[in-house]
Amino acid sequence: MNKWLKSSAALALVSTMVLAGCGNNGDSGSDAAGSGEAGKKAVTLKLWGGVPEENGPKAVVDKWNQAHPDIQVEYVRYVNDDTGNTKLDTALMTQSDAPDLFFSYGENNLYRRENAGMTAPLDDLIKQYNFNVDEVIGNDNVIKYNNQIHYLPGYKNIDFVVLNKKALDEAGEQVPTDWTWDDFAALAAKLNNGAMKGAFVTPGADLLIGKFTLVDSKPNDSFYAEDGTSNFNNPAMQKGLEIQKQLYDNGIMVPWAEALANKLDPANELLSGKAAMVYGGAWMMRDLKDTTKYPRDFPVAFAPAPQLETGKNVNNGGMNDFLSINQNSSSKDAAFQFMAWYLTEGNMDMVPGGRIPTNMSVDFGQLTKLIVGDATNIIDEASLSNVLKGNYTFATRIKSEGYSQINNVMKEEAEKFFMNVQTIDKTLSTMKERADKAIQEAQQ
Amino acid sequence: MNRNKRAETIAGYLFILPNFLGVFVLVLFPLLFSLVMVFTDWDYLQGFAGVTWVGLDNFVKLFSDEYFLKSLENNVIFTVVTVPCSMVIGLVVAVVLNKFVYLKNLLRVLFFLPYVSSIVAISIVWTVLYNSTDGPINAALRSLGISHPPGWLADPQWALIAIMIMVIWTYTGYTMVLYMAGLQGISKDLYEAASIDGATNLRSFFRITVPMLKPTSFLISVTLMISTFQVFAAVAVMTKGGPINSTTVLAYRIYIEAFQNYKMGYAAAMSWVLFLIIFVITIVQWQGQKRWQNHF
Repeated sequence: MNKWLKSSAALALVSTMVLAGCGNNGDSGSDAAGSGEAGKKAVTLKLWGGVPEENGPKAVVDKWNQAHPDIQVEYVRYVNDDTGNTKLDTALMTQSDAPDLFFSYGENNLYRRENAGMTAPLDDLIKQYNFNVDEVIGNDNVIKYNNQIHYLPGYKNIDFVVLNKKALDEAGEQVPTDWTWDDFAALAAKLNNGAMKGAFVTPGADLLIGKFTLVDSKPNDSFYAEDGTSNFNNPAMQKGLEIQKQLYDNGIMVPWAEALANKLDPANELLSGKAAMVYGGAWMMRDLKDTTKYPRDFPVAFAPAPQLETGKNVNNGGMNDFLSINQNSSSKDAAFQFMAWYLTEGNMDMVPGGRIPTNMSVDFGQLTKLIVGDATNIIDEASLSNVLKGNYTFATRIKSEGYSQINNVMKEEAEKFFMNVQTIDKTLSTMKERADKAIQEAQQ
Repeated sequence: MNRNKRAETIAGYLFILPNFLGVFVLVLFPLLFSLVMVFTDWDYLQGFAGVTWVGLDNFVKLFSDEYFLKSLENNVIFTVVTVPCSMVIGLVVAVVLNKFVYLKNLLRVLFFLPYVSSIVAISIVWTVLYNSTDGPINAALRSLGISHPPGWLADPQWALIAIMIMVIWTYTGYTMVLYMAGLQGISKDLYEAASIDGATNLRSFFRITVPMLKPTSFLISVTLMISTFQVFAAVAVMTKGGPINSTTVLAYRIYIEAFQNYKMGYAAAMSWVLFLIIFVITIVQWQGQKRWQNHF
C-alpha cells in the first residue's frame, strides 16, 4: 500500500515536471492583459529585432517605457542570420516564448512569415488608430499581402559609396555625384596604388556588381523577367559581372576568393587604409564614426551608388526593418500603439546607429546632423547630406518564387566566372538555366 | 506477493520515465519522424498543412543533384585521407612518447588538447593561420623561398586539403591517447624475446607493435570513420562549402537544404542516405575485423 502511495506521488511529481517543462510560460505577461488594454495590469510586449541593443533599440524602448507605464516593451535581440531567423520562425510557429512584435530583414524573411500566416493583418488597427500610412511612409512603399497590410517598414536603407577623401584629393578628383559603374571602375583604377587597393565590394550574393546593374536596368523584381522566368541572362548582368572581374584581374580589388575566405569587411578595408573606396550603405555609419576601433587621420566622403547609365538614380537599398505583429499575440492593440509611435517618432533614436527613418516628414538637414554628431572632422557632411536626401528609385521585390535558391545560383555561377572556371557566356546561360528550374520547382 | 512485484515494476518504470521521455521526445521521435519526412515535400512553416506526399521523388532527385554528388565525393576523399593519416601520425607519436620519457605528460596533454577544444574556436584560429596574404603559414612558406604559396581556403584546389590538415591535427590527439593505452597492454616479454633473436627496433615495431594493436586500430577506424563522415562545423565556419563548392560535404548540404532552402523532406532524405552509408561501412568493417582477428 505504502509503495502505491509512493509511486503515485512519484507519478504526480514527474508529470508536473514534464508539464512545467513543456508549458508555455513565455507570454504570461500578455496573457494577464489579454482581456484588453483597459486592464489595470501593465501589458508587457516582447519585441524581437536584429539590431544590437546598444545601437538604438535600448534608447527607443527606454523612452517608450518611461512614457507608457501601462504598456511595457521588452526588446529581445536575435541575430539576423540563418540560425537566428530559424529561431524566430520556430518561436512564432510553436508560440513558445513568442514575440508580440518582430522585425523581419529583407523581403525573403518577410514573405516567408507572411505565407506561413505568422503576421497579423493591420488594416483594422490602422483604421482604428487613425494611422496615416500614406502620409508617414507612403502607400507605394508598402506591399500588401492578400489585400491587407501585414507589416510597416521602419528603415529606409540607402546604398552609397564611401570614399577616402584624402586619397581622392591627392588624385585630384571630385566626389562623384552622378556616375556609372564604368566611371567607378575608372576611378578605382586611378586611386589604386600598391598598399591601397582602388575599391572594395563585399563578395557574396548581396553585393554583386552584376546584381546592381541588373537592378538598375529593372528596379522592380529585377531577378524575374516579364514572363516570370529568371532575368539572369540580361545584358545588364553581363556588364556588371565583367566590370567586377576586370577589377579583380587588374589587381584593383582583393580577389573574390581571398576576400571571402578572409571575411573582409568594407568598413575595415576603408578605414584601415586598405581600400580607397568601398560600396556600403547607411548601416556603416556607426563604424565610420568609431575612431577608437579604427583610428584614422582622413575624412570620408559619400557618393551615390553608381548606375548602369547616368541620370537614373536607382538604389539597391529600399525599405527594410519590416515591423509586424504576431498573428497570435493577445495584445495586438497595445502592440500597434507602440508600432505607430515607433514609425512616427520612436525610430529617430535609431538614427545615430545609422538607420534612416521611413518617416517622410523627416528633415534631412537635421537628420544628417544627427548622424554626423560631433564627428565633423572625419565625415564630409555636405556629400553625406547630398546622398541622403537624393530622390531615388528603390529596388522593390514582390515575387518570391525560389528566391533564396536563385540568389545562391547567381552567387555560385558568378564565383565560377570570377575564378576563371567558366566564360561569361557559359555563366549567364547556366545561371538562367538553373534559376529557371528553381523557379519552376517553387511554382509547383 | 504478486501485487508487490507488480507495484515494484511500475515504480521501476516510473523511475526511468523522465529519462525515457527525454530520449523519446528529443531523439526517438525526430528519428522516426524524419523517416516519414523523406516521402514528403514539407514546408514546415505552414505546420502540418504544408505536407505534400511525393513518394520516392526525393531519392530520385538526389542522384541527379550535382551538389549532392559533389558533397558525397568530398566526404569520401575527406574520410579516406583523414582517417589513415591521423591513425599513422597518432601511432608514431604514441610510440615515440612511450619510449622517450622526457616531458611525456606535458607532451601528451599538448597533443590531446586540440581534440577536446571547441571545433568552432579551432576553425576560427586556423582561418587566421591560413590567411593567404597576411597569414603566418604563408609568411613561413615565403621565408622558406616559396614565392607562390597556396591560397589555402581561398583556392578551390587547396581548401579541402586545408580543412583536412586541420582535422588530422585535431584527431591525432585522440588516436594517440588510444594507442598509448593499447601499448601498455603489450607484454614486454615479446620485445625481449625479439631482441634476443636479434630483431631491430623497426622490425619489432612492424612485427609486434602493429599486429598487437589491431583491436585498438579497429576501434579507432570505426569511430573516426563515423565522425569524419559527419564533418560539419569546420566546413560551416571556415568555408561555407566554397570556394566553388570545393569543400561542400553532406552534413553541410543537409543544413543548407533544410534551413536555407526550407526543403525539409529533401534534407531528411539526404540524412538517411548519409546514415545508410555510415551503416554499411561499419557493417563491412565489423565483418572484416572478425576475419583478421582470427589470425591470432
